Amino acid sequence: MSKIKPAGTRRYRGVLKQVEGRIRALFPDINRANRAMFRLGDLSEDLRILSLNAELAAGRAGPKGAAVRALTQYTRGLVRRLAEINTNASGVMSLYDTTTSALRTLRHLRQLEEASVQVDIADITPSGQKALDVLEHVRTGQLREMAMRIANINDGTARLGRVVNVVDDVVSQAASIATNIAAEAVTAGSHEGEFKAVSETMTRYVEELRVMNDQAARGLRGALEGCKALTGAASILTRHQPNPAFQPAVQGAHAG
Amino acid sequence: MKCYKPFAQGDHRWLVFSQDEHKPGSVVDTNQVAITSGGHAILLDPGGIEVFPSMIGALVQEVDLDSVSHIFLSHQDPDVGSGLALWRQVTLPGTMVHISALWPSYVAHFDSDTHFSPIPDEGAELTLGGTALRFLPSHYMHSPGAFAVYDPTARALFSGDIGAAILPGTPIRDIWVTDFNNHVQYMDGFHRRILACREARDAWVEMVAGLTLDFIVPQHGLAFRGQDVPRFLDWLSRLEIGSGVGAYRGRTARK
Repeated sequence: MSKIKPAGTRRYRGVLKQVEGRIRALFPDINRANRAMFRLGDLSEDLRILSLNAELAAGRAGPKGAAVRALTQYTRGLVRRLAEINTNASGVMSLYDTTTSALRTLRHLRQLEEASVQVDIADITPSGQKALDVLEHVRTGQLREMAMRIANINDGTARLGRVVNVVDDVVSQAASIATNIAAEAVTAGSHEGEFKAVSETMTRYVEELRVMNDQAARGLRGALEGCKALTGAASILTRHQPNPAFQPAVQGAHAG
Repeated sequence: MKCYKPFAQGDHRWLVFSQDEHKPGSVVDTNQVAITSGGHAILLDPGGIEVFPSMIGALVQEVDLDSVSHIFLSHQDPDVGSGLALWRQVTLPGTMVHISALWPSYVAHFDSDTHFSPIPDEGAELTLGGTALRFLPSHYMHSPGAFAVYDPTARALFSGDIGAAILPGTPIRDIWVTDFNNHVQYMDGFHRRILACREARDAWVEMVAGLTLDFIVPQHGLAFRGQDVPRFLDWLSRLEIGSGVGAYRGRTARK
């Protein structure tokens, strides 16, 4: 039986190291974005309660509260949008899982690569040759898994981007609503204080949302850059195709 | 990694893989054992993820991967089985992983896809080819759920951490203890600390003394054969154990 050496071992190890470095570099950015998004659910709930209180205040003001009532209905529309994207933002948390799993897969790939070298440097026996085939097969499976995880990282980052854009839009609209409620407060007579308080509270929540979203956007920018670099490095890795001659002997025999 | 062959009778063999020169310096040296019989093989404590490459490299010089139908983990530590995810992938589906019934859900942190065959507290018997191996209780001899493996045909015991020694870094060219009295210094502190229950220690020594034994292989360090087997059991039976307990009373633990 002919002896098949692992192809391009040194280069392959270099690429593994590069991909690992890229994934590790993603962590701080994902962390920053996730940490920022953590408050989204609470802020959305605060805004919902505020809009209910504003509506009650508007009811008490009678005709002088008509405009404020309309504005609170817009606010509730925004709250619904926030609630929807909060579900997506929770999904972003799975980026942690994906990046951690990707690092574990890389660790396995490194050990499988080293195992091929260790089997190969000894005098090759029939069982040694078979082991090389098995290791190549397992490594191919791990590379496929790696490609899938990188796609998931890209997908998660893109989803986070959509969340940031929606929050940005909500912030801008909620700020306008707060300004309009403040304007209505001036002509609301005895209800001026109540409407002013609503406007000021809403402005505070909007500011918190803005800060949160800016932080998430900063993390996102870094993560997007990191993803580009990661995809570039990983494409070299996933192009590393096994010798097709290995396949028939082991296909289906070993767990992938 | 070196391969020692302390027993061979037809295709019934004990192979001890040890002294891995490729492992990172921060990783404790471990003994991995393969028993083959009747075209089947069992790996005893196949080792941590760090030693996987060297171990598989050495193993396949002697054993066909497809013949590995069982893996045994003496206890739950990472140096025993953190390479499990890789072993699962290179062995055939259906390979059984035997471990104390205490640990499957914990050891699943090494690999959640492994299917475990839990060993009940009282132990179990496993037929491997033409031989019946016995998993003997070793609970509280370090781990609260631990087993040793006795092979009555080879008259051999794999004892896990019991009998383990942390050897100095000088190169070793053998697997056997040759000067028991000198070897004690490498086992002493380890056993005083890792063993804590005299009742379990006495029961274990009594159980093992009742076996017909030519040699004992621990998971670390050198193996005992011939007269060193009773010498080891005698030394163990008289050892003051539980050295860490002193720390509760503010005393420095004896090393």
